Amino acid sequence: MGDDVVVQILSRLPAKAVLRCRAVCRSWRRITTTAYFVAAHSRRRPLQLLGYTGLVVDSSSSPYSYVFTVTSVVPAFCDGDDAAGCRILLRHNMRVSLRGSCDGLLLFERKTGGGAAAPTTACSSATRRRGSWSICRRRRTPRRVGVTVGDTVYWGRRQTDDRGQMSAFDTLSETFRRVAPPPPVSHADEGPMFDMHGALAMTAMSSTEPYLDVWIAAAAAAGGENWVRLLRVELPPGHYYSGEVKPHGYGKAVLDDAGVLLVAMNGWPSFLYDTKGRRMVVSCDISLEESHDYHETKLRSFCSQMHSLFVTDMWV
Amino acid sequence: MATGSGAAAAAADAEEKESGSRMITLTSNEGKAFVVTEASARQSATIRSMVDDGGCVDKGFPLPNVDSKTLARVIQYCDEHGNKEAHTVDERAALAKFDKDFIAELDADKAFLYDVTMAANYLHIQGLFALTTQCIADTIKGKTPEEIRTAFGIEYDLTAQDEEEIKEEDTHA
Repeated sequence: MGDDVVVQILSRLPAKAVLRCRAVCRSWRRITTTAYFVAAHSRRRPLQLLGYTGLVVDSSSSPYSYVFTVTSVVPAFCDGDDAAGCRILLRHNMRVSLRGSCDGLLLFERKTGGGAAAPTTACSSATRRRGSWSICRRRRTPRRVGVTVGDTVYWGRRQTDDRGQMSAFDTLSETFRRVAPPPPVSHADEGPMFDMHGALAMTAMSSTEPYLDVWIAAAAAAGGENWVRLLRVELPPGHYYSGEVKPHGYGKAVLDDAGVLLVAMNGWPSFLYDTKGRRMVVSCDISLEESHDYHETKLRSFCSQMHSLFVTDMWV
Repeated sequence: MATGSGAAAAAADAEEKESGSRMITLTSNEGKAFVVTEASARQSATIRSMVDDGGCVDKGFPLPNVDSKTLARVIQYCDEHGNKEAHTVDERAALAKFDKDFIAELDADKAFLYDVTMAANYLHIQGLFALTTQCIADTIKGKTPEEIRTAFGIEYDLTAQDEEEIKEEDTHA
């Protein structure tokens, strides 16, 4: 069998079985240790939602009274050896915050007082790299990261801009353009956007109704977007903003290959919704301060290794 | 330029209308010809792109890497997935049952399963390739390295240095 076929077979295995395959022969060993293989394996892992939370603890041994955790919400449909539900991926008592993730890479920012320059660090769980590195220093929290759909990056309306429009950046022509939001959705109801099988989708939650709507933009020939309401998800009590002021535009929604939508609005309980079966899968009580989508790979002893990376790097 | 592409589009449209009834000939490496519907043949991305490029539809497609027995089985899969509709819940369930029976039968004859996998890879039949590779992965899943070597007829060729690294990895895993 050719290497490409072997990659396709072995990337379908759970991490433990892949480790056993590394002890089969030299050729399998070579194949399963390439960065290409690890990335392919990682992409087949279930999509998770990572959230960053600070918990108050009573600790006399630590100078900090908070424990910061990176918690993972895993869809119920896992094919691997993960249990459904939530679990804590990382726990630390240092003030860092999770800024992003991409293919097994986690990006942290160390929090310092008074808005001073903070080093940003990345920890890799997907590659075999043991080190971590400082990516950049910056002074201000960046603008919200846009949602990439195909060749275009989209941003929602700005908080203060009531009559404003969304913006889109075409990465091929390198041009910005304005995009009209779904007409009935007011800027205050606008939720996180996500890539729905190649189309731009936007979530919307009103403060008065227990629903989350999913709007999808079919790109019209003229370049404008034609919005259609695709789904209306009824939310359980406690999952919507009944009359309260909600933070605008924060949160995260992602759709995995199996059609499970993960929604986390920062500071509110998260949930998973099956868009094919049209039913709520899991709603979990933890509320996440920041959330990111993530494919974990356990091909390296991920938690302990990252923990130590994390500690050393933070204090360098 | 504009007229040229317009004419090409019109030609493609005309072809599209014809394609429903068109038959395509696939020839195995033993020279045996199999006549299939275009819908069935289009399950293969390799053949699909050749057809769309206006390739030798009339002359048929020789497949030098696939023998008759394997090709017959691959065509069985393509006929089922290409010629039948899968819109309703019942239709999808029927197709899922076909896949289940199809792979169970192949699983009983490993050498043949590998031949079909290679053919699915060569012909880029995504669904079939996913089905067979998942089946092979499932057989590997619970096995020790030694059992995997026996099952696949792989020779032990790890060096002392490899063994040392493997031991190291085990303690970290």
